This record gives sequence, C-alpha cells and structure tokens, in this order.
Amino acid sequence: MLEIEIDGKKAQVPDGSTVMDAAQQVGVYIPHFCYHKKLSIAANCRMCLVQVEKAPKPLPACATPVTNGMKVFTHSELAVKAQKGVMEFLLINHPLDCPICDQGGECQLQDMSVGYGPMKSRYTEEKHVVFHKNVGPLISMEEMSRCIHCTRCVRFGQEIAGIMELGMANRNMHSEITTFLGRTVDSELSGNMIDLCPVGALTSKPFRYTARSWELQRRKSVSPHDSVGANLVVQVKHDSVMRVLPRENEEVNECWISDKERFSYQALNSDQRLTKPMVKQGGEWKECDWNVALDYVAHGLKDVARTHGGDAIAALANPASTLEELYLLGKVFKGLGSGNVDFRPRQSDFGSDFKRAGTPWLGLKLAEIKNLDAALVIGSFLRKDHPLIAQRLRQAAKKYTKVSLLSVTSDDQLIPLHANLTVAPSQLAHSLAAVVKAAAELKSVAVPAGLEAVAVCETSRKIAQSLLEGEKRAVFLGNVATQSAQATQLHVLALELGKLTGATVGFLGEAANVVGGHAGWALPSGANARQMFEQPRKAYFLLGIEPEFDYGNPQVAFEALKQASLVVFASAFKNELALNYADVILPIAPYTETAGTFVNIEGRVQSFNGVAKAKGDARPAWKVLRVLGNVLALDGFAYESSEAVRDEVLGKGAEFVANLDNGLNGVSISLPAAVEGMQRIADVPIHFADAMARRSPALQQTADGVVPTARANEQTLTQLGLAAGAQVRIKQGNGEAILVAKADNNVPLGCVRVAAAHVTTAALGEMFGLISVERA
Amino acid sequence: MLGSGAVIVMDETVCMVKALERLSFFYHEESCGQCTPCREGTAWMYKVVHRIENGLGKPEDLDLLNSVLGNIAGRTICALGDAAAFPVQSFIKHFRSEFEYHIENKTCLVPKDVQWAGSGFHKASV
Repeated sequence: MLEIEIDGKKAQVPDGSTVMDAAQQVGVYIPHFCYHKKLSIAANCRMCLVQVEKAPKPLPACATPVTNGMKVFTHSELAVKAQKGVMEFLLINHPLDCPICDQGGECQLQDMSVGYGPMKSRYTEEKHVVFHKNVGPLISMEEMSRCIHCTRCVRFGQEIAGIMELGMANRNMHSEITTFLGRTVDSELSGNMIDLCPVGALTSKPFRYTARSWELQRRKSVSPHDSVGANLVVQVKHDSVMRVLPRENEEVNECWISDKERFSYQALNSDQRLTKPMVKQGGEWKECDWNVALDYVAHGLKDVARTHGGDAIAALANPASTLEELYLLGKVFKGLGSGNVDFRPRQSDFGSDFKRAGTPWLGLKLAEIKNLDAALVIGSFLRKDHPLIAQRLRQAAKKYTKVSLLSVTSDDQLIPLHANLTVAPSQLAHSLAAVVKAAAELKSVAVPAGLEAVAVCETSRKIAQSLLEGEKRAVFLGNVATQSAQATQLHVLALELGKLTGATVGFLGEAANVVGGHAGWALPSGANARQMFEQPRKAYFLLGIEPEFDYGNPQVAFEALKQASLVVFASAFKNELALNYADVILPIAPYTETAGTFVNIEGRVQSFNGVAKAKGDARPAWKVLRVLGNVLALDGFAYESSEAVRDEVLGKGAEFVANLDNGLNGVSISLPAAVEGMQRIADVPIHFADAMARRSPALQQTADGVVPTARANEQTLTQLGLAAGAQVRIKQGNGEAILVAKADNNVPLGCVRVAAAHVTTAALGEMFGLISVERA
Repeated sequence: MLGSGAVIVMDETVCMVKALERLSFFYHEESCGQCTPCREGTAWMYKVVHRIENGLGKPEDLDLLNSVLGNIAGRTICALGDAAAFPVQSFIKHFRSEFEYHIENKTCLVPKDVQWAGSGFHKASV
C-alpha cells in the first residue's frame, strides 16, 4: 500500500494505482474526458493535469502511477491554469451547437467548461469542420465536428467490443474518427459508444431530437432480453419511454448494455402494440372489455376441463415473462387440473425434467468469470446470444483465461480462443464425449462407461488439458445445447467433465427468466412444451409466445393450434397469424408497464416497477392471471401487489433464489446414434429473438437484422449443386422456405444454416432437424 | 545538420514573421493529433502567425501567442508540443519589432525585393 496526499487529504492506495484512482478513493473530482474506468489509459485529452510536488510540469492524473509520499494538488495555480488552457483548446474548434445538440444537458464538455474553463473565448480564426458519416441506424455521426478526439470510442471497439470499428484517420487538426472506408458500426455492443462519447459527436439516431435530457424522468428497470438481467435506466417523458440507458451494476452488467436492450423501446410506442382485448365471435374479431374477454376465457376453459378433463388444457409462457406471471400461470392452470404448463418453447429434449437436483443456473457469479483459469462454452452463438457474457469472457481471455468453444458454427466471437471445435448439431454429444474421454485419459483414470468407442482428436485433448489446469474452471452450456435434441446427454456429459476436471458446470440461460420459471414452479407436472403440442389439446393459453417465431418446431405448434377449440393469445404486440388460429386476444403489458421480477442466470432476484403508463387497455399479465384465477373461482388469488406474489414464491427479502443446482439424478451416458442427411442449424438472430426487438425499426435495419440466407460451406454447396447467390428451397416437414444461398465456411459440412424466428423461415420445423435443399 | 533543417542560417534579408509562419506550419502539419494542446494549439498558433504575415494581425495577437504557447509547453504527451511552442516564444522575444511592424503596417519589415534578391527561384510567387 502506498501513501498519497491529494489536496491535503491523505489516502492509502494499493500498488499500481494511478493518481486518478486515488482521487476517486479520496472523493476528489479531477476533470477528465478520455479516462474511463473500464477502458485502457490514453492520457490524450490532458484535462486531468494536476500539480505533483517536485515535478517540473503538470502530470496527467490518469496516467501517473502513485509513488509513496506523493503530494498532489488539483486546485493549485498551475493545475487550474492547465485545466483552463486545455478547456480553451478543446473549445476553439468545437461548434457552437449546444442549442441543437442532443447532448446538451448531459454533456461533459458543457459541465466542465462551466466548472473548469475560461470565461470567454479568444479564438477568432475559422473553426475546423469534419464531414458527417453514416455508420448505421443506431449511432448518429452527423456532427463529427463536435468530436474532441478523446478516442474512447476507438478503445471501446478494440477492448470491449472486440472489434475496432472506429479509428482515428489523418493527423493533426484534420484527424477524425471514422469507420474503415464507409463501413457501418455493427458490433452488438456498439450503442455503448453513445454513452461513452463525452460530447454530442456520437449520439443515438433513434433518440435524435426527441427530447432533452432534463425533460426525462429516470426510472430503474431490468432488461427482459437476455439471461444477464442487465440493470437499466428507462427514461420517460409524458409516460412514454424515450430512451434506455445502462444502470451501473458492477456485478451484473458493469456499465454496459447490448444494442437490443438499448433500442428495443421503439416497439413500445409503435402502432404494433395490442391495446384492446378481442374475442372472435361468429368468425369475426370484436374488440371488447376485459371482463367480457376474461369471462369468455374462463367459461371456455371450464367447459374444456369439464368435458375433456384438465389434461386437455395447456399453457405455454415466454421465458422472458416475469416471475409473477410464470408463477400465476402455473397456479391458474394447475388449479384447473392441468399440469401442462411450461416456459421453454424452444426446447426439444426434456429428458432432464423430474431428474434435476435443483434450479439450473450459471454455476458461478458473473463477476467471477474474470477469475477463471479456463472455460469451455458448449453449443452457443456466444456473441449474439449473450453479448454481455461474451464481453466478460472476452476480457478474461485477454488476460489469462483459456476460453474454448465447442459449437455448431465457427462464427468469429471476437474472443481470443484457446481452442475451437465446430461440429454438426448431431455430433455435439460425441464431441463433448471426446473431451470427457480426453480428460479421463489425461488424468489416467478409467474412461466413463459408454465412451469407450469415442475417438479423441487433438483439439479435444487441448480443451480437456485446459480444464485440468488452474484453480477455477467452468463449463457452460449455451442455447444450442439447451435447444438441441441431445440436450440431456450434453448436460450429463458436461457434469461428467465437471466431475473429472473439477470445473463448475452451468447454463448460459436462454432468456431473461429461465431461472425464475424453475423457481416459480412453472414447470410441467404433465405435458412439457413439446408434448403439449405433439399430443394436441383442446385449449391453449399462450403467454407472450408467437409460435411461428418462438417455438422450436412451428409446424407441430400450428397443427395443434389449428384444431384446438379455444386458443388464448396473450401478447403485447399484434400478430397477423394469431388472428387465424386464436379465439381470444388479450393485450398484456411489456416489461416497462408492469411491476415484476426477473431472476437472472446467477439466480439473482431483480425486481422492478412499471416505468410507463400502460398503452390503451393493456394490463400487466400478472394482474390478468390474478383476475382469471378469481373469475375461475380458484383459491389463493387475492394478491394485493406483485411483491406479494413474489414473496409467496421466493420468501421475503430473497436476494438470490434458493436451491441453485445444476446436478442430474439418475441419468446415465448414452451417446445418440449417428444421423444421416442434411442438418439444419438454426440460430436465433439477435434482433429476431423476442417480440420487442422484432418491432424496433432501428434494430431491424442493422447488419444483424438482414433477411436470413441459407448458409452452407462451399463444399456443401458444390455437393448440393447450388451456386452462392441463387435462390434455394429448404424443405422441412410439410413446410418450406425460399432463401438466397450463401457460402459460409464457418458452417460445418453436411449442414445448412437456416435461421429461426424470421417470417421467411416460420413455416419450417425442427431447429436442428433434417432438411432437404434444392434449387428454387 | 544543415540538410535536415535542424540548423538554419538566416541573414537580415529574411522576414522573421514569414520564417515563423513556415515553422509553425511545419509543427501544425506534423502534429499527430493525439493530445489536445498540440493538436489545437499548433493550429491556432499557425493561424495567428499566418494572419500577421498576411496583414491581418491585431495588437493583441502577440500576447495571445505567448499565452497559447504557454498552455502548450509542458502539457503535451511528447516534445513536439514544446518544440512547436519555443520558436514562437523566442521569435517574438528576439524579433518583436518585426512582428509589431507587420501588425501596424500590414507588410514585411524587410522589403519584398530585398527578401528574394539573389534567390533565383520563388521569384514567381512574389
């Protein structure tokens, strides 16, 4: 520990701290632009110059390491002169845009020029102008003259996003921040650059000119988009959501959020919102009141229960529903005598149901990822499925963590990988088994039963070796692993690998509230999400599900929905297809208009309140289910608040969910048989993954929002006799999709990558099933 | 040393303002643009000296230049900032009369024909 004195205040700081770290500890504010606690030190703005005793010239606080007994003065004459001088330099070329600049009111340059700058300008020359750039639908670079060249955006790309999309071109006064030759900024974390930019050079395009920061009310919320549960600040004006920003939580999302979380609010205010309950009578849709709609639903459900039994009713919820919604859904339908309640629409293999030791979770805290010596991620489109977890792994891999990936495509994760194994979906279990066998062989212990015939390749050995070294290692199962037909075997094999190597095993989590679904008893005691459609029922309740996009095998879902006598479609958004198969449409509130709880993949309970007024007649789904429970005359639906529901499920004051355990009881290793035929690899593109993102225009215009193509290895295309760029017909079951073929050598042989969750592929079936491909 | 420009020999026929203009342009152009004082300050100094050379100088400009260079020197990441500041400081210190003449009379102290006498080329730009 070193001793430092800043402005007379003494402090003890750890070795290696800078003066800026010490000042933060002591509570002294040193003005700065280019310094950011999460980025590398650049020291190029020179705003943090302070006087250090015995130093001839002022030193930048962010880059000066503390020496024992150092004395620093941040308000001495020299320091103040330096601050005023640098401030003056920053302002000489800065356009006088404050009245029209979005950043006004939350601009660090404004604030610091008031606090640390000179009174007036002495500059009478011409100001330098920088031309605007178009870098995509999310970040506005219309006024790059405002840029103060702090290079935070450049460093963000290099370090956090993993790809340097912005750089400084030219030199001296003509230096400007630009992308490479007219490219767009495509990273899934790029929106964070808007927060980082201290001036109005990088601003939010969707938010442009819509509101001033002082008109907005800041309210806390939690992200519904992925399993991290990033903390959000939702800014509201006149009861409408205008903007979403990250809320700092070092343990969950640090200070970042992904683009989807940042821009999906556009859907909330769109005309795509459902605002009135509707009932289909005589083949026609009629808008009605809530009591009419719920009476209709209650009567319908009771009729089906009386005539066909409770088992003829099924309910499927979106795993991004709140804990309260999932719990009440389970309570209502189990009260009706139906154990057919589930929240895992994409899953196809439910072999671990009733055999789990506890609630599946990440296996460790998000903040512990950086301490891992090695990690293996199995079956995941890591960057796109979990941008914030990928970011944590990226930082860890840059230090010393050996991150390996065993998945179905070799997409660039922008992480320096230790090993990368890409196999067809049907080979996932075999490849993981090879790593398990390699681990056993390296440890010189008996190979687990069932793996004797598995062939071990060099890469599997490399992965196994990395998991055997060091103290903290982890094995993560991603979305592909959870959605695959081999999900249970992958889980068992991962547990075996964990046992052999001492690594923790965990799940990355498919959606915002999968842990909440498990903890909230929304698990089926009867038919699971697959069985409830494969064996058709008479009545279905869909909570936040658009089957053509959200269900693992849309064909199976639609066969069942079409023949059902009662389908209740509860969603926040309009859906054309639902008008055909549904009988009642209930408008429910998205996360901004309801109080609720998301349990993130660490098991962390994060509750939030509604931040905006409900649109039209939309109601929070938990309230709808409570009323439905009461209308159905079921016991125990007298809740006063959503907190009462949460406390009933989790107990009062629970910070983390209890009984987090990834173990399995009574499942043995049994490798699946080989599969013949062309396999489909269905990724869920990041901006098609949920209803809100699908209806946000800005996200749909990004590079990740393009219409899916049929991607296959060049060899596969030649084998199929297809040319890249030609239209191809993908046939699966009784549906087909017509897409443009594209050569992509990241796809393994014998597979074609056809995305799910898009209108062009909604008629297809199983996500990782067999397909036939021919010229269209 | 003479070839790299590190040592330049000038006689009384050289207009010091013009010489400073060329020097400050050099530093302005060579600045990498990383740190604020050098990137903005060298441009500012060049523009002011350029104005003085072209007859648009104001009496406050000399104090302005001294103030600006004082904000650059010792505040930059590398020594280019210092190197850009010191010629301005010493030229104004040692040849102040030439600068004041420029500002008052809007032309060089050294007559143009004397400046370019015997220098063969550059005659076209006179």
